[in-house]
Parts: sequence; C-alpha cells; structure tokens
Amino acid sequence: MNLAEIIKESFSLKEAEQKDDIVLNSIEEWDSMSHMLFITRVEENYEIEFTGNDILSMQTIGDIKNVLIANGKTV
Amino acid sequence: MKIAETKILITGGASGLGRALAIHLSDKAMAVIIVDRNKEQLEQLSQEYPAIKCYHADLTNYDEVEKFVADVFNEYGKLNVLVNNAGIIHSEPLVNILKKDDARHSLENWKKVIDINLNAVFYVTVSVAEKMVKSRSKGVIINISSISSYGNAGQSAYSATKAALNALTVTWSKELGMFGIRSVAIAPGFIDTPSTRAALTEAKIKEYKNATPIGRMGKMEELYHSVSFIIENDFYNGTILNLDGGLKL
Repeated sequence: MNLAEIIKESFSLKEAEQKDDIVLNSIEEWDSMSHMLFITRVEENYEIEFTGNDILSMQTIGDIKNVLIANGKTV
Repeated sequence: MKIAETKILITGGASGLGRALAIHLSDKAMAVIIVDRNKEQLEQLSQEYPAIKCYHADLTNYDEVEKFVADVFNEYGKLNVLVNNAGIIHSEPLVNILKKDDARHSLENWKKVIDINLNAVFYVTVSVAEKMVKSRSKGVIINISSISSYGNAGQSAYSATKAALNALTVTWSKELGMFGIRSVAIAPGFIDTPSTRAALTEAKIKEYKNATPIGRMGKMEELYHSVSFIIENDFYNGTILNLDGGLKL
C-alpha cells in the first residue's frame, strides 16, 4: 500500500484531492486517534520507525512525503 | 521482551508488595527504579539494596510527578516497564448505621482514596507514556488492580478505583498498543504477605481461605511469576489477569 492509499483508507480522502499542502487535522475524518493509527500504518507499510520529532513535524501531506524521502523511501 | 533487557519503574516500591517485587527483580532486570513518598523506608531499602534506585515523590502532586519522571528519563534514557503499584486499602461502608451523628461514608476518605489510587496512577502514566511514545520505547504498563475491582462490600472507594484501573488498562492498551506499549492489570486476591496478615484477623483469613476454591492464599512467588509472564509475553495486552485462586467476593 502506498502513501496515497493509506491516506485514502485512513481519512476517506480521494487520491485526486490529496494535495501536498493539506493539513491533516483539517480533514473532516481526522481525529487524534485516527492520526496515530495512520502514522503506524505508514510505518508498517514503509518498514520504518519514525522518531518522536518526525511525528511532530508531519502536519501536512507534503511533510509526510518529505520525512519518508529523507529516510530513503520512495513516495 | 526479556526482563534482563528492561528498565523497570515501580511506584510505591518502598514497602509491601512493591518492595518485594523490586527486590525480586533487582538482580534480573537492567535497572529497577522505585518511587515512594516514605523517605525512611526509601533510605532503608536503598541501604539494604543499593542496586535499586530510589526516588522520593508525592504521586498525588502532578508537578512532583512530572519532575521525578523527567529525572528518571534523564538518568536512564528510557523505561520499558511501569508498575503502578502505589495505593492504599480503605474499608468503610457507604452508610454506617452504627454512627449516630454522621452515618455517611466520609467524603474526605473518598477523595483521598481516589487521589492516591486513581489520580496518581494517571499522573505517573501520562508522564511516562508520553516519554515512551516520543522516544519510541516499547514496553508494558502493569496496573496493580484487585479482586475488589469487581465490587466488594465495605470498599466503595477502593473498589471504584480498582475498577477504574481495569478500564484504564483496556483503554491504554487500545491507545498505546500501536506504539508497542502494552497495558495489563493484575487483580490479586489475598496474597500471603505480612501486610495482609496485619490487616486481617486470623478468623477472616480462614474465612477467605475457605471461600477460595484452591483453599489457600496466594504466594508472592505466584505474583512474581505473573509479572514476569506479562513482561515477557509481547502479545499479552489489554487484559486483567485475575490472580485469586478462583475466589469471588
């Protein structure tokens, strides 16, 4: 599962609507628990463990991509 | 998770069950840290068992908890196991008809038990869990509940706090499981300790033994075994482990 598919599954946000500047907590389906579940899904799918600072920095879809790319992942 | 690779914090570890558990684990774990509000008992334990690191704090004071937890993480880097053991037993009927002037359960006692047995557990756990999540430390929170958590006559406050711990155990297992932090409670029945024998008359002990299908009180070794099992079984989560010989109050 790629990032777009995880976002779609976690927040019911269609891939066409997933712009880099979208702030996650502005998505209607978002809440703090769904956010944490989303983070762990990304970790599982990309076989990565984010640091606490990584998690705090991931506010937008673009932020998440940047963190994944910085960790050598393709998004 | 192997016990030898864990750093363990035990609250209320200067006396009773917490002390015994700390001593038992002190030569097995990477580090055993205790916190207690009784300075004399802390000093005594520290002298007898230098391997156990002792901290003093009043766990009902949120600011003190924050400070001591920060100190622990500064010194040890991370924690893997938190044993929420600190608590008090309080027995008092909801209405005591033998008291003419004020038959009601003391409000002061109610608040005191809630503060020590429930609020303090929340203060410690929220401080420790935040640091575990942010440092991505995996581990387990063990709440010492009680057979009274299912309701025991004469223990409104105590039973309520232990039932709350059971609920928090399940809640935290669901919230923190995704970070590799498990949450489990142990609900002991009557364990044969000096404090149990001091608290109960011989007649009462006999009564409980007779009511227990297995016909005796639990042994400390059986409690140690439960704690070890919980630490070492990484799939054991969100569960209340009843350690009561089959006794139902």
